[in-house]
Amino acid sequence: MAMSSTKPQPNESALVCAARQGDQEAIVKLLDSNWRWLKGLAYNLLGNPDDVDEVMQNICILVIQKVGTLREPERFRPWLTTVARHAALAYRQQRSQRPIQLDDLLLAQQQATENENVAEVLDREDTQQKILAAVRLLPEKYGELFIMKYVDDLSYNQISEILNIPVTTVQIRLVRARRMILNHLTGKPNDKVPRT
Amino acid sequence: MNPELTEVLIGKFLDSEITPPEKRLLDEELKQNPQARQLLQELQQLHQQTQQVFMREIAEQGQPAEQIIRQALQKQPLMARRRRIRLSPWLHLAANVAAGFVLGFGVYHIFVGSNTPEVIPAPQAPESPVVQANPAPKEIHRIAEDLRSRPLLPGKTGRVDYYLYPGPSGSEWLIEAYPDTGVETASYHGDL
Repeated sequence: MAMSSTKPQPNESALVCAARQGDQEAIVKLLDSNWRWLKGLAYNLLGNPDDVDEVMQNICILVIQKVGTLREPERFRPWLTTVARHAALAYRQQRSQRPIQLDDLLLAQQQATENENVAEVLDREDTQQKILAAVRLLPEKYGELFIMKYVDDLSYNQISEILNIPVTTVQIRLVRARRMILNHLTGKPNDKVPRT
Repeated sequence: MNPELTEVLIGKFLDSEITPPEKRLLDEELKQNPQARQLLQELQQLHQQTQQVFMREIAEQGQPAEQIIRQALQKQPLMARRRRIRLSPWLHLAANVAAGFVLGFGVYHIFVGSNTPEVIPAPQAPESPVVQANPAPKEIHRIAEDLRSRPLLPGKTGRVDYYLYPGPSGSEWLIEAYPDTGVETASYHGDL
């Protein structure tokens, strides 16, 4: 099964009910159809693509464990968001407490040097890298929404449902996030962010 | 048009969320305002490149979704939720009250009911000492046989006499006699 983009799922509640009764295929479909934005959410909280897969598996385990406690199947996505945030934050905290291994440091240094060389060969001023860096500098609430939008091409309504915020808030946060990134790329100060 | 509103409309246009009236408004603004056109161009480039960045950085990275989900299912098998009966609040209250009554009755019966004295008075033991039978075994046998043929009367409250008699096999027999029914009382000789 290929990772599918988030589309309106009229039968998502039915899948949740089936999953609560122990239907494994239902849980696979539910997680797969929400995979991209979940991944974006985890990425935003971790800031490191290498950790995302591990957190995604933790999210899956939590969902499998807790789906039976979900009382309103129609509120699956907001519930899933909470579960994913919890798992990602727990992982981030665990990672920060992990003792640093000298071997890891050497490996990271080696990779950084290699990346530096590649970057020099290609283009140091690569715009896409700058965009990524600018996104990482966004405040969490903007970054989360911005990544979800671009990873999965979600509509304002879908983001509003997932994050449990009004549609107008989604719209304004996206405008502000874009402006902050644009300011970062063009070297303008961030006081020119629209307040609408 | 307000520059901030222009930026909001451009954002909605890029996200394919713009309505037809908003689109007409934005078109008008773009015709008149070169700064708005430049902003549209910059934001459009940013929009396209951001899509590419995130496809490469997140969507196309890592293991396939299904593989991770199946691994998770192996680690943590999905269990069917136990079916719970949902009661309306009133029905829930009624069930609780009923359960309370049953429990209260049970507790009352166990702790209070057991202390209530029985209606049947205890037999008057001091007046009916166990008597060493006289050496008149034939007579005792006759009394015993006579008593055995009579049905036991439940709740008998009168006087009871006891006879202790060694049987032919050497075992001892305790025989009850009720004087009210006409059987003679035991005679007592010697000390107990």
